Amino acid sequence: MNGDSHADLLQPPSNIEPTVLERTASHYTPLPTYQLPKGEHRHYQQQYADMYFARLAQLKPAVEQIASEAWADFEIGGETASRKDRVLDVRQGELCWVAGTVYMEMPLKPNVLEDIGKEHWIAAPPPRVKYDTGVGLGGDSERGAHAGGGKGLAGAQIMLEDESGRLRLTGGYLSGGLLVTGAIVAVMGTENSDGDFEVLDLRVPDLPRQPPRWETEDGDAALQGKSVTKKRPSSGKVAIISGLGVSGVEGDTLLLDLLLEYLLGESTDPASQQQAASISRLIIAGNSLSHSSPIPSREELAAATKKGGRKTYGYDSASYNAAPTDHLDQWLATLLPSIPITLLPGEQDPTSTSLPQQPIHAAMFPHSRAYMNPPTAPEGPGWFDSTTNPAEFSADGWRFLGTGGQPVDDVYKYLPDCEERLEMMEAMLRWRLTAPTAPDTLWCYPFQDGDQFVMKECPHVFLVGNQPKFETTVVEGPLGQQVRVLAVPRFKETGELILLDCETLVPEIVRFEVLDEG
Amino acid sequence: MPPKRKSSGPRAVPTRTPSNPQSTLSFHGKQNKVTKPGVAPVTKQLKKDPALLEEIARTEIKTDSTPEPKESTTASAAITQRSDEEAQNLAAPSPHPAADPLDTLGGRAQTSDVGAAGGKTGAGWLADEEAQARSVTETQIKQYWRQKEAMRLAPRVHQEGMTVYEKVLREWDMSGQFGTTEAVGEVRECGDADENVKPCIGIARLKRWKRANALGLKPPVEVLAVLLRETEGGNGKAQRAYVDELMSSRFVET
Repeated sequence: MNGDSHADLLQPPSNIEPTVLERTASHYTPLPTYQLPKGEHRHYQQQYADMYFARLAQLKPAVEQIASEAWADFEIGGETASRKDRVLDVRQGELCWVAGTVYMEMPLKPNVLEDIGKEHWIAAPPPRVKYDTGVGLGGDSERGAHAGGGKGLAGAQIMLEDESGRLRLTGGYLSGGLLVTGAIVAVMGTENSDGDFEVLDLRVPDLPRQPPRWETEDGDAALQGKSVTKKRPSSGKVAIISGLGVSGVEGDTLLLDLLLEYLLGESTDPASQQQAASISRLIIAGNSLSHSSPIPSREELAAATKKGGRKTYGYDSASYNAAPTDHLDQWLATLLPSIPITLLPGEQDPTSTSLPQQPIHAAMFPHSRAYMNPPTAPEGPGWFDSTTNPAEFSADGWRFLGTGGQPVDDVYKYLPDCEERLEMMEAMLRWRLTAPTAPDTLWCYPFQDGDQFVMKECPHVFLVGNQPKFETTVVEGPLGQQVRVLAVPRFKETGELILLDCETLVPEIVRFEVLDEG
Repeated sequence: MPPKRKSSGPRAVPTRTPSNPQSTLSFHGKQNKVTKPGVAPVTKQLKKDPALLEEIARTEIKTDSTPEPKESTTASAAITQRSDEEAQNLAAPSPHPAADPLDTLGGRAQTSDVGAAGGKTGAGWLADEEAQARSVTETQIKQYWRQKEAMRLAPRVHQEGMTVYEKVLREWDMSGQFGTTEAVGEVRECGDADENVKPCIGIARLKRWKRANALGLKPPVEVLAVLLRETEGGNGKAQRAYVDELMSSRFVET
């Protein structure tokens, strides 16, 4: 009861030393999957076609294997489905299946030529919530994500593409599933008289192989010749938060201070302090700063040029406000002596705007820098890990894959009737793509040798930051893989902190609220 | 109004120059030039069509024998830089089996079946392709080329002056761009699949071979042998696809 726990605090002075709580240690191995080469080794001369080609080449074997297993003995009217190598090899009236990349043609998708044409004439349109115009006409009989497009009405057009060409897809089947540009799928059906391919069935690559727990650490030790420790200590919990939104303008940062005191074990009663002591790591999943993106939005640019001031590109050094980063740095530096932190950048953070976003530079954190290792250190990032977005790392043996939310937000724009973000995250896992819509509507680095967004191994935890509310589920794969999917809400709006138990992978919420007096 | 002169008489044709010996002020003419002598006079020649003027029609436009721009474009500079890196990697192979982090994607790929980053051995090789390629003999390359020629109905035209190496490399560039020449359903004679290794623009040939190899597309090892020989022979131009040079050419037809 509360009265008993407060008895420790409300007592006369004595010589008994109170027990000092120790924080559980965190085992952490970051993986450099999304780190780009530095400096002059980063090339931008290549086209994005290389990326699409590599993505198809990497995922086609997997999807074709699943498709051939599923449709090997499929028969309609005495006809079996045959496999076609190229998308354009389908013949009218012949039942066949083929694999390729999905491309969706949507009326409201950003078109760079239209943007350039309109830039001079009209004000910037408000950012689109969805790329599609919405439900097509007479869509009563079809529900689902692509009701309009499935009927071929004013809505999205779905096409299948590979090196040989493009094939338009139709059929009522399409409205049932989620499809976005860039997903690799295998479709079975036949070509109708219009030249469109009527889809009867669809298969995706599904989840890749999932490494067992502790594989990253054991694999490393085996490579270095050390003996593999069989016994691992029991892990604690991992705290996950997103969307701190430090702006430096608002005076009310009470929520952040409450969070700080909770994590440090300074507030609440000893029982909660015990719980806080079991938190071994804090993961900040994006948008720690409120609007520090280096590229000004269209409205800001219009305001800057309208004022008639000097035309400065980038930021205006006279009006640069260092308060937000300073505040964030002080906050982190207060936490860091006690708890290790992993910081992922988000859409509004001061780092590159194209995926994969590179780590926020140590120069932004003059105080927290003491806890970071220099970039070329062989032992890795260290206590304070400013990492990429998306990021892959191994914490307490479990493989985590985290993003700051941009891929899921972009997928959300493609689906006109779907509001279920968990379904989108599950679909991204089944497509094996961390960012399926890159490079179509999501800016990204032009990878040449292989698409880095293809998931080669299935994570144990897939966390996505900056979502409107907290949601979680477990996704199961065909080979027994289990992934805990977490949608992390914005702390600034909801005040929720997620604690993920590292033994059972079950999340729980701690909510911070400031009650208004008036 | 100028004062009436008695000498002018009945004014049939008004003239400007009177017979009066008194000199008049004039601001035109060669003697009264106000402009400096160095300025070129405005000629009326430009009003005419320049194509009709003989001088311009006879001018000789000096054409370079090899029309290469003096400063290379950034794209070609990027490709030559990366092919130089490849050449260096070939010259000094990495000593330990851990993958070279700088090479392909700037990241060490975890153990995976279909990976795109540098494989188990260093510098982007999956197994001992380099050793295999070095052991390929000239006759093997010629045999490979004869097989390729045999697959076509007619011999290639416009390729008479090229060496076999050059022909092999150009075929390598183009592989995957056209589909199968046989009808659907026929068994291909050539064992390895030459398709699906494109695109060939914007990437060095050796890197393209390594990428195709890493993605499991089984590019022919004879092409690798030719590439290695060309790089070691000091022919840096062989790293860039010929169509790449054509497509990025800065010379516009006049």
